[in-house]
Formats: sequence, C-alpha cells, structure tokens
Amino acid sequence: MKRTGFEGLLKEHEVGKVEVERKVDTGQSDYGELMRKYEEVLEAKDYSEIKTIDDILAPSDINAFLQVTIKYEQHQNYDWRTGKFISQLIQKSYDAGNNGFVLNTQKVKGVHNLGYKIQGTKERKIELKIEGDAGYNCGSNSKDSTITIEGNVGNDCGSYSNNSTITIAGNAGYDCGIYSKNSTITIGGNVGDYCGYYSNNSIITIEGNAGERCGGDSNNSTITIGGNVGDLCGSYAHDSTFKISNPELFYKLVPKILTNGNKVIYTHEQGIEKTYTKWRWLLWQKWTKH
Amino acid sequence: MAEMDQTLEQLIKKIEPKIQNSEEWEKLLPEVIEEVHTDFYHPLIPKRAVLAPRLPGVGTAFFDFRTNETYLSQEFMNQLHTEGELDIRTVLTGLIKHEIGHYVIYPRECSTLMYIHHFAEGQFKGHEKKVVAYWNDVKNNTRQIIKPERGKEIMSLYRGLNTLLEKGHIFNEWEKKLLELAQIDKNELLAIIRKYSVDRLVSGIYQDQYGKLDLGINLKGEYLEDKLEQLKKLDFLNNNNDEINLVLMGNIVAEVSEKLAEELKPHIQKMQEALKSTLESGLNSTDDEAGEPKSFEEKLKDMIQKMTGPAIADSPDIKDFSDQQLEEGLDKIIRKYGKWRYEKIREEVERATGKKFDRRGEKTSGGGRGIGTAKTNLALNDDSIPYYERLSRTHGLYICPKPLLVDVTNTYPEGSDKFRVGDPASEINVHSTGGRILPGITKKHKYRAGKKRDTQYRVPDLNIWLDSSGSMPNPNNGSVAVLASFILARNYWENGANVGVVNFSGDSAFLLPTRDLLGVYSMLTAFWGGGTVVNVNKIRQYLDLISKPEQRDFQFYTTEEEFIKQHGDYKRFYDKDIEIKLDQTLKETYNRIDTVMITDGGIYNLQEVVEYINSTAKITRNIIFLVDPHSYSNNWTEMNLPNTQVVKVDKIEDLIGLSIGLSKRLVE
Repeated sequence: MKRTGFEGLLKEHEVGKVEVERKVDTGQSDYGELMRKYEEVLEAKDYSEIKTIDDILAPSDINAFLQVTIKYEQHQNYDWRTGKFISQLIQKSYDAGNNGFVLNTQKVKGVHNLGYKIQGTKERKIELKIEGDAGYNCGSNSKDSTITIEGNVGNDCGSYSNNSTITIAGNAGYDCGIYSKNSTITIGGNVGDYCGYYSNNSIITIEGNAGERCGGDSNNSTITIGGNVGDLCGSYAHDSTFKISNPELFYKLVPKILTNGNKVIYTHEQGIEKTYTKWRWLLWQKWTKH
Repeated sequence: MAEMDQTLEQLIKKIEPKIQNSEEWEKLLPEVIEEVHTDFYHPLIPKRAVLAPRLPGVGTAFFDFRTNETYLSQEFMNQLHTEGELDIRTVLTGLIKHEIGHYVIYPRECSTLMYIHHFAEGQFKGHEKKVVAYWNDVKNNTRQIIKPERGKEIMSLYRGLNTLLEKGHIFNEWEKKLLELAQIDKNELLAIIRKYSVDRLVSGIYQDQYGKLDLGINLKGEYLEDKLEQLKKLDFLNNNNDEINLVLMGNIVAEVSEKLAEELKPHIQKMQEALKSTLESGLNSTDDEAGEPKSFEEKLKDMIQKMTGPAIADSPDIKDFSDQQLEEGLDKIIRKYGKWRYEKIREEVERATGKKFDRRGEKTSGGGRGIGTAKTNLALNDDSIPYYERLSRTHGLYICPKPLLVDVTNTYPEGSDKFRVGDPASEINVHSTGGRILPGITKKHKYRAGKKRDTQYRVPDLNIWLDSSGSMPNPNNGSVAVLASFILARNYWENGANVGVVNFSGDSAFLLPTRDLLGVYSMLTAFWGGGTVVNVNKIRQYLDLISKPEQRDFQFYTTEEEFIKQHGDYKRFYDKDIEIKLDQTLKETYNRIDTVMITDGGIYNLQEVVEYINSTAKITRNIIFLVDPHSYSNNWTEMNLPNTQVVKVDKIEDLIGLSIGLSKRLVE
C-alpha cells in the first residue's frame, strides 16, 4: 500500500467556505433606548438620581414593556423600581393625551409602586386597570385617578390618594387608604390594620374583615365594614360614618365610637337601616333599661 | 364493465403522478440529507429523514425532538412542486433545512420553548400558539436566510408557499366540495385569507430585510403594509431583545389573526352547518387517499388551520419532548429564572404534559410540629424542597477525602480444601501438587472475611450548622444559604456519608447524622426567623450524642424542653467549660465529621463560637459559608481561623465549582 504523508492527506481536503452574513438594518428601535434607561434605573444607587423619562408610549405598549421587564426580575431593585418606572411612563402617556391603561400583572412577580404618584385632572381622570395582583404602594399618592385592581394588593394601597377611586377585588394589606382625601376606596376582600386611618372626606368600603384601627382618626369619612374588625376601630375619628351589618360588631363598636360627631348606620338582617348618633344611642339604652 | 374501467382509469390517473414523485423523492433524499448535514455539521442528527405519504394532524413536516429525525409529508411536497412551481431538490432541501434549523438554531432547547410558551401565555388574545409558532419560524429562518447560500432554498420554499396562496391552491378536493356545499365563494374566501395572511406578512420580512430575494410579495397599499413596517424595526437576530421582540411581533400577529378570525367566522359557521346537514352524504368518500380516515370535525379543523396559518405547521410543542429532555429543560429554567418563575413554568409544563415533575412537600409554616412532641416556633417549609432539590442537582461539589479510622473487611486464608473443577483458579495452592493442577487432589486455600480498623481516605460525614435567623432570607423566597446547604447535603450523601443538621437562631433544632435525605432537606428548609445565637454547649451535647449510638434513638429535636427531657440539662456540665475535652470516642466523632456553618456572619456570641471552632479545628475540618459577605466578611477573614475554610457566597453563581477540604496552599 502506497503511503501518503500529512500533505498528501490534506491534498484532497477542501476548506469549507465561510459564508458572510448579510447586513440587516432595522433602524433605531423604539424600545432600545427605553430599555437602556430602565437598566440605568435598576442599577442606580438611588431612584431619584435618574433623569425624568421622556418616552411616550401607547397604553398597550406600556403593558408590553411591563411584560418584558420579567427578564430583570432577579435584580435586587426590580420589585421596587419597576413600578415607579411604569408609573412614570403612564403619566407621560396620559399627558400626551392617552388614557385607559391596562397592566397585566399575572406573569409579573410582585411589582410595587404601580400607579404611584399618577395625576389626572378633575375633568379627565387617569384610568388604570391592573389585571392581577399588585404589590405595595399601588395607587399611593395618586390624584384624580381611577384605579381598578382585579387581584390582591400589598400594603399602602391608595395611601395619600386625592380625589381618586380605587377598587380592589381581592384582599389588601396594611395602611390601605391612609391619609386619603376625597377618595373612594373599595376592598372586595379583607384588609389589614390601619385601613382608612386619617382619611379625610373619603368613602371606604370593606366587604370582608378589617384589622386594627380601621378608620381611626378619620375625618368626615364613610367607612363600611361587611365583616368584623380588630381593636380600636374608629378611635379618634371625627364626623365620620361607620356602616355595619354585623350584630356582634354593633355592640362592640357603638359605645366606643359614637363621639366627636361620628355616626353608626346599622343594617339589620331584614335590610332596614338605622342611624345611631350619640344621643340616639343614649336614648335607646335608657329605653331598653325600662 | 365499461363504467368500472373508466373509474379505474380515473383512479390510476389520480395516483400515478404521486407514485412517480414518491420514487423521485426517495431517490433524491439521501443526497439532499448529505448536503444539508455538511452544511449544519451537527453530529447528533442522524443522516435520514422519514418520508410519509401524509402527516396526520401536522400536514406539512416536523422535527421529532425525541429521535432527532425529520418527517416530511409527500402530499405537501407534491403540492409545493406541482403548484408552488419549485423543483423537487429545492423543496426537499428547503424543508429539511427549516426543520433541522428548529433543532440547531431555534428553539434549539426544551427550556427555551418552555420559557417562550410561558411568556406568551395569556398575552395575545387567545392566539398564543400561533404567535409562538410564527416566532419559532422567524427566529429559525432569519438566522439561516441572512446567509445567501445557506438560506436560498428556504427563501425559495416561502416563494413556493406564497405562489400557492396567490394561485388559490390551498384547498384539497374534500375542502373544495365542502365550500360548494356551504355555498361559499372560494375566491371571496381566498381574498380574505390573502388580505389577513400572517404568512405573507412574515414572508415580507424575509423578502425585504433578511433574505433580499423576491418572493412575489407586494403589500403596498394593503392592510398589512403598516404591520410590515413595524415588524421591520425588530432585530430578530439579537437574542437579548427576544422578549420585547416577541411581545411586539406577537401583538401584531394577534391583531391580524383576530381580524382574520372575525372575517372567517361567518364562513366557518356556514361550513359547520353544511357539514351537519350533509353528514350522511357521500362527502366522506372523497378523501382519505393517502392518510388515515378522519372525522369531519378533524378535517374542518385542518382546513381552518390551513386558512389561518402558519403555512408550515411544524411548531415544536412541549409535548414533543421526552421526560428526560423535560427534566433537563426544567433544570435550566431553575438556574436561569429563579424560584418564582420556575414554579410557574413547572406548573404550565405539568398542565401541558399531564405529568408531575417534582416530589411535593406539604406546607407546614408557623408553629409547625417536628417529629418530637412539643410545639415549636420552627416553621417547616417542605413545599420548598422540590425547588432546592432540583437546583442543587445542577451544582457539583468536590469533596477532598480525608484519612479516617474505619472498619474494613479483610480476607485471610483459614485452611485448605480440595480443588474441584469450577472453583476459582486464584484459590489454587499451586505448591500442593508440584505445579500440576489435579482436581480432587490439588489443594485450594479456604478464605474467611474479617473486620479490622484501618485508616483510609473517605468522605467524612457532614454536619451543617444553618443559620435561620431573621436576618437570613426566608427559604420560601429562594435563599442562597439553603441552596448551599442542599448542595452540600446532596453531594456528601451521594458519596455515602451521613448528614446531620443544626438549624439555629435564638433556639436550635437538631437532626442527628442520617441517611434519610428527605429528613435532612426538611430540616434545611425549616426557618426560625429569630435572633442569632449559636448554642455551643448544646452543639457539644449533640456531638456527644453522635459518639454514643445507644443514645441515638431519638433523632429530631426542635425545642429546649424536648432536648433536656431526653438527655438531661447540658448546662450543668458545660456552661463554664469553653474548651472541649475529648475522650477517644468523642475525638473520633469529631474527626469523622466535616462541620459546615452557613451564616450571614452576624452572630451574637461570636467570641464563643470562634473559640469553639478553634478548639475543634485540630481534629476536624471546619468550613464557613458567609452569605451576604459584605456586612461581616472582614470580621471573619481577619480572624484567620486555623484549618477553617471561609467561602463567601453572594449569589447563586458563587456556589459553582466549590471544593470542600482544600489541600493546603503552598503560596499564601
């Protein structure tokens, strides 16, 4: 057998052609720059360091952007800063004439600050709907806005809100609606402590149970409680109305909160509503003694 | 008779071209496969493809991810050849390149497909499957057609598909007859399909941007023109933008599909009504020439799929993967996306496949009960075990064996016996018959096994001190500390060692070294959430227990009372005695155990702990894992603890490539 050397072996071998890829020009992507800014926000030592965001996105694009952020969800600042960033985008978009924002949070892991500091006008309220759960501070410091949450929310939902309507289908955490002013807050499930604390001229409706100090220090507010409440409900409240339908709660609550111009409206099992002021309560007590 | 001959003639005419083509396809197939293989240069793809007369349920072609084989429908290829005006080599090459591309280019991995399905679910108005199908095709095709030579057949394939649509040759005989019965104008229907065709839209990107070859698509002035311009802005070659590109493309595809569905709705209703009223007519006999018989509903479903796209219905599905591939996919997901996302994706995979992938533990949080009798504040988080178990499987660990005094089995000759045929030759006493082997006369050695104590290199047992104080992350939220402990426990256990756990906070819970890995896992995911004090005396007592097997009938302690009840008040003996005094048995116990402490470093009685570590360091290996090393790392490093390895762990990646019991460094 004829032997061939190394060169002989290579003689037959043809070097494969390396094909050059065609260049593709996609132009400047609308999202490229925004993504870069978002990354900056996540990395910054302090959120306030970041310059304001000027990008104006359509409402559906803001939701699309929220979905995309999940690739950053393992970042330590993701939970707290993403919501603020999204809220800023909502505000910019609203200012440019858009409204009716829908955020789907079913695939997003616990984003806080959704709807934080958003501001509409009395004539044109800013509308935000959250399909799923929201984290802490949802709708906090909002003004002239209508926020609907289809799931549960964390602490401080609607705190410091002004002239806003916040509807929560599920449960809410602590401090829901504290310091709210001229706002309507409805909670479909249960709520934690300090719900409606220091609220002013607000309507707070809780369909389930509430924690401690519910409606404490409230002023001229209407607080409706469907279930039971913890201790110190309505303590130091002024001119507020507490609507209840639970007979146990009636006897627990009425002697303590009918001061400072507060009222209790009790709905009997038969559906009859009776309003109790301090004087009416005293009279009723006297009458029952006889 | 004449009628019968006529019918036979018609049938032959109908079948004849297919038989000829079948031979041609089969003849050309090996050659094309060889070429495509040279192009892809992928050793795991077998050099064969399956030619089927028809692919039920798919219709066109697909790649089988279990066997790595490509399946091609002859009926579809014939259609592309005869009506799509493509030569058979182009059809075959284009289809095989596209299919293999799904394996080599995109989605390539089961984990990618899982993530994409999860990401898309619920986002695109019910068109998620369609969106994912187009996305898989676009990602696969763009990467190929960007190279002029590599992608030319794929480009031609899409030209052929567009020709089919333009000519209106998308319906088979049965479908045409159904349209007639439902009194639907075929041309009107085709105009709708053409107007809202996502295939045309996507081919438009190939034509204008990536392939730069005329595919006969002109969307100027049409509904799709604006959509095409939006799609052109997306860079499909950049994998970093996959999420945003998928959302943007998905929104467009969903919008177009919604329009198409709206327009097709009345026509589909008509077809359904026609099917109902003519169920007993001869419609059933018009088809099934090559494939299996199908119900009318299935045929209508196929027809709707054909009308709505994608043209090549080959999108890989999670169900197409084997159990092992799915397990590997989930392993990748768990490493890349964390606990929360992993659990969501796993649920979706389980829903899609109807299989369970992780052993489930029960949630026993807040005031749970251990094996003992007393009520404790220790929260057991057994539902988190599957997560840590899987994630720890993806991390290796090298454990340096150390010389240990162990019982070894030794054999020695006890006497002799007659050697018989069939006895092992190694036992023969060759001297007994002068070197000759004579069965029945030659003697053999009789051996007996005995035990003796010897020092051998072995992996020692492991004792994990896990800090579960309030400053440590809760196991439910994905804790690096718990993960580190799982990696250690699993790897020691795999090496045949026993694993024990001391879960400490303000109080401590103990698990004596055991081979019950699930018990170990349960203890590792348990959480106190209080202050951080290491009860050194209690740990001494615990080690004392290990050294006395007769006392080990009770294995799990979660409260002080429980411990004292079983073993007396340890404080009486140890409180004033910081340095340990070791008898021989206790010394051996320490020697055969590696002690690993996992903590964030902020221990209240640090001085006491350090003294303890120093006193045991002479005989045992101590390893300290400092999670969140920023806060206290300097304190620990400055101490320069003897024979103690300090490992700083900030993130999961820090746990890759670990080695326990490092040999002494020559250069510091």
